[in-house]
Amino acid sequence: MSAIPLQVEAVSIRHARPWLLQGVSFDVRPGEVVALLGRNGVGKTSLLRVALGLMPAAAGRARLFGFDAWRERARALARVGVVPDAPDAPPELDARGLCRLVSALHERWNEEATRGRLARFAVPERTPFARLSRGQKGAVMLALALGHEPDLLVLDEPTLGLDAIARDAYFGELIAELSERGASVLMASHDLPLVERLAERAVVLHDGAVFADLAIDELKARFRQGDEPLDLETAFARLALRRAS
Amino acid sequence: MSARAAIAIARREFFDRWLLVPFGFFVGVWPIVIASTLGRENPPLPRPEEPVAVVISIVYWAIFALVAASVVGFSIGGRDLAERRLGFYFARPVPWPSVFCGQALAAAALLALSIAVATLPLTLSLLGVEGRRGAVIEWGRHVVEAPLQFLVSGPVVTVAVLALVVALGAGLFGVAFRVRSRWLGVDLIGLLALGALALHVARRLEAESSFLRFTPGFVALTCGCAAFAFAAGLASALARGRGDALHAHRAFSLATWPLVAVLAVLGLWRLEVALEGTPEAARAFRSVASPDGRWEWRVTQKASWLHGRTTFLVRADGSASHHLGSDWSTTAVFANDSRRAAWTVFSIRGQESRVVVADLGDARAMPLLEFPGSSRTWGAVLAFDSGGDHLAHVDGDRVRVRALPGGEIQVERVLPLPASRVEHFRSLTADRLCLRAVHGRGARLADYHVSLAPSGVVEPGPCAPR
Repeated sequence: MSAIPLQVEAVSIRHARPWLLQGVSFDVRPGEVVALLGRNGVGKTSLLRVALGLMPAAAGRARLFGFDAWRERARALARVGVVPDAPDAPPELDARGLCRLVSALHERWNEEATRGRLARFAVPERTPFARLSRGQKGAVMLALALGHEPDLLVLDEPTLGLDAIARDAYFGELIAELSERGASVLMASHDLPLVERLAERAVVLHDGAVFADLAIDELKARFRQGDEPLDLETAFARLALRRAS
Repeated sequence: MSARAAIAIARREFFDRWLLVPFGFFVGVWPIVIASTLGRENPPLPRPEEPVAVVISIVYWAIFALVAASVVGFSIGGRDLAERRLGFYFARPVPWPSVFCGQALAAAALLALSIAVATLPLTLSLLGVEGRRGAVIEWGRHVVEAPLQFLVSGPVVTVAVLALVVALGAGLFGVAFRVRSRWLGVDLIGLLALGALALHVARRLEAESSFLRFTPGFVALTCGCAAFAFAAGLASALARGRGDALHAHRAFSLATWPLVAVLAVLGLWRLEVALEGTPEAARAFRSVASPDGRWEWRVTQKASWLHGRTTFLVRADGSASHHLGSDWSTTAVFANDSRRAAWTVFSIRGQESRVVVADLGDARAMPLLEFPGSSRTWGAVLAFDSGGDHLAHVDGDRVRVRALPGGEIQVERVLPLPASRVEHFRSLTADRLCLRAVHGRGARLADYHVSLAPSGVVEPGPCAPR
């Protein structure tokens, strides 16, 4: 079993006729926080689905801790926590019921830590998932993803629709998790301030391929003009403009 | 596969649809209301409500079983995939067989419990009422024994078959029409092909004068095949689609329809074999041997699950066997010298019949001579003359004698009264026949002697002891 949490090896994805992605390769090393960036529709979510063994790649493969993500999905996901772009928990279950259900789906489960997280997020325990707010749903999904203490956390637009306070709480929880256990994170996000605060490296997808695979500072440096201070948002905007022109 | 995960999924899927169970109880209340109303309207009956309630309960139970099967099939088959509800499981380390088993377990438990609960109100209503304890015991015995008792034939097995077909159909429709990917076209073609197949089978059965019989073996095999195809489709949808509706639909269609096609081809082949019949079939309905014992005319059951007969002429030593078709026929008569056999064949689609004469002199080729039989009666009986060179048969009020081997009409006589049926017919001498005609609606029997001489007549005369 490999210690490398995620290896994406020349993955190609085809939706109907045209190629969505071709020959995409990168990896996520232990303890590393990697952001997957790109414009809407570039294939970030599809790439994450391939990485999680939820859909097959047209070519290439993804490995999770050395396991083939498609062929050995169940074993590969044992050490992975997933937060999807749309919270998809059973709508009629409350937080407690969800914990009970998800704990039965994992070999190990830290009930106390999960309850603690839900309490910190102030998620009502007895309210059905369908009636929670968008922020509360996101918090529940994060708590469920962390319940089995994963070594790799995959987040797809985790802060989409969250207000500033919920986002901060979310961010705080992630920071705590990372500092306590040194888990690896792969996140696809348009929330560039969050990415800038959290990620060490960015994989930028553009036009069906990896356009850049750089440390965040290196990425910013590449698009800096003179001595101006440059945030990631501006760097990404310049990158997108450059590619478009 | 993780049993723990499967049970957790089953529990969740069950409680997601738990309202079906109280709904079953609600449905079960209605027979009592109806039975009580009927009971009041029929005061002369000593205890009218129990048997009425039992009958109504069975009817309600049957309807409810079908509705429940369609709801569960549609919900578990299609809704979960279409609404991407399974992604929650697949984003966790749960093997697809656990998801599959969890769903199947939930569906089975829901159906079994809701259908069982539907019978509860009647049982409860009969409890504690004076003089009805016997009815409770009877009802309980009925509930326990009915499935076993009716498995041989009857409403329970029919309902079970229909429920399974409905559940599978609902699941199929659920996947096809809720997901609505371009594979819907394949599903529609598959459904049309199944419809065409059913039509073809119906026509083949009609052409062969046969009907399907829902024997336990036939039901088990048919349901098993259907369940296998559907289960394989669903398993493939889960294994390849993993919660993604479009991929799941593609996997479902790619697995289900080829399997259905293979099973349909096998089924058609088996049907054709059964329709062909075998002279060695265990159940021979009728058989008659030729006077010299070398030939046997034999009617056999096609198959245990197929109500239909096949007629054969076989050599006693097994050296030759001739398939004579599936139409209904009268028992054959043989000429005294065993050179010829004759019988009348009826088509179930019409009233026309035809007389068939087999020349047994050529055992291999066995040429058959056919000519129109009776146009108005079914009770046509045939007789060879003592030399075996003439065959007499009746058509309404006419008696015809044909010369063999050509079959041309040699003589035709009119009976004094039109006969609705001829009960008995034999040759007395080379030129004299005897027949017993039934006139009217069986009210009058009359024996006649028919002379075959060119100027012969028909005159009353004793035929055989009545």
